[in-house]
Amino acid sequence: MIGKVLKYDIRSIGKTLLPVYGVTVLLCAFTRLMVFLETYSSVFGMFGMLTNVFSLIAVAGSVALTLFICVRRFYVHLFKEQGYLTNMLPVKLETLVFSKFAVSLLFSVGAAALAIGSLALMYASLELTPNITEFVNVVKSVFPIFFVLIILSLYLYQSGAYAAYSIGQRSGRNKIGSAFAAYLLLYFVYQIMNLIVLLVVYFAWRDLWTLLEQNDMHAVKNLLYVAAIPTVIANIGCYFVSVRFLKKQMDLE
Amino acid sequence: MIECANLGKFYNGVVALEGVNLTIGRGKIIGLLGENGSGKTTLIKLINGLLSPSTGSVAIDGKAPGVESKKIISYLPENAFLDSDMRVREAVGYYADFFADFDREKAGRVLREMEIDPKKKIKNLSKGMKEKLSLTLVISRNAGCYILDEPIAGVDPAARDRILDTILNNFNENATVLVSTHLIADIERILDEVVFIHHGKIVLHEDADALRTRRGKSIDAIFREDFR
Repeated sequence: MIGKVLKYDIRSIGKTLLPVYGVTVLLCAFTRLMVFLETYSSVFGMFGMLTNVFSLIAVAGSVALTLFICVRRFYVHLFKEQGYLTNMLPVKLETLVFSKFAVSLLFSVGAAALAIGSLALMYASLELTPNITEFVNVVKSVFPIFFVLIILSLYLYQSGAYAAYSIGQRSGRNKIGSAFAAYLLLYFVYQIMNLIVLLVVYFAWRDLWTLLEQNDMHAVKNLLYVAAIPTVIANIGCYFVSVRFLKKQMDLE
Repeated sequence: MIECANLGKFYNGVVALEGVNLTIGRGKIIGLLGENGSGKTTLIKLINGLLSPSTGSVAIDGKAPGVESKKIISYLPENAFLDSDMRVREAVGYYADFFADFDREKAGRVLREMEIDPKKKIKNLSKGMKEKLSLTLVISRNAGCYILDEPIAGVDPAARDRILDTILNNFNENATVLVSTHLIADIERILDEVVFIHHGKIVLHEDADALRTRRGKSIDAIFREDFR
């Protein structure tokens, strides 16, 4: 059954997001074309500046839309009208929730890849300002874990919202208000986890801080790996919180 | 088939359903009759596991609502519940994918009878057509139990008989059918048993013919008299 649930979740979200991703990539490619044609006429350059702004908006918008569509799907599919069908499928609750988490992760990877790919498409091999060039070089040197951290952070917005909605179901009066309060609480717990991990690293791994002060990129990479730990734990924790609260009490409006 | 023992549901201290003891056997069409807000939908949601009971318990074939009960219950909610971005044929495919007892041929035949175009998007159907589509999908399962919440509330009087005939002609004959409605006059001809629900309590559960004979009136008239 998990395959079928995944199929319909991917299809439903993909139907909205994939065309948006496609338009964003085309816009970025068009911007790059304008930059290329600038050598022939400054008119192309001026037009390129305009499409550059639109492209950046489209990239940011695609990432934001990914978060919105995934969270909306979770809410509408489980707690609103469509919940009357979803929750009547002969499928375990864990499977329904797992599918939502898995598809969110998939589209978070897609959104992160789209953002990085689009920026690369627009700016790769172009002469940039020294500050931006330095930033790009730093990012390149810590690339795999930097990319993973972006995905995990994007994903945490969604999994946190899923867990918050699930907790909010316990409230009889104001489910959305309770979900918002639960989200703030979960965010606070996540920040405490971050703080604990950083304190442990600070006291147990003093060499790392010395190396960081010397701008050692290997140390930066190690710190990013450490930073990923609480985010991974928080994402997994949100899944178990969602399942636990939904199993304990399901009250479809 | 369905057993409710001391079943109750409270919302923030307000009683929606209280002390419901109800046993529903196999192979009957049972009318769950009550005014708007009497607790019909709450009872149905509890049976389907869409609400958690505040007191008591529900059992379907001896088990609490869960994956096994969902395999045998075909449920028509009172609200639109299909993804409106889907086409009609995709909704049919969705049901066929998830419900092993779904009969595609029957679905195709009923869709033709209802004059619903499988290529149309659900959001482009009228409210009445959407309700007919929902009923088609629910009734096209060879389920052990059909639970229909207000199946005729949203359609015009002329279409009600057609919908009731569709239910009668298509449901699995060994199955139990629980139909909730406040439109008693329209539905009473198909009922084997009636359950009257009033202010969250079951006040009567009796064989439909026996009740009519005993009181010498139609069920609609009895209901109006008792809850006027």
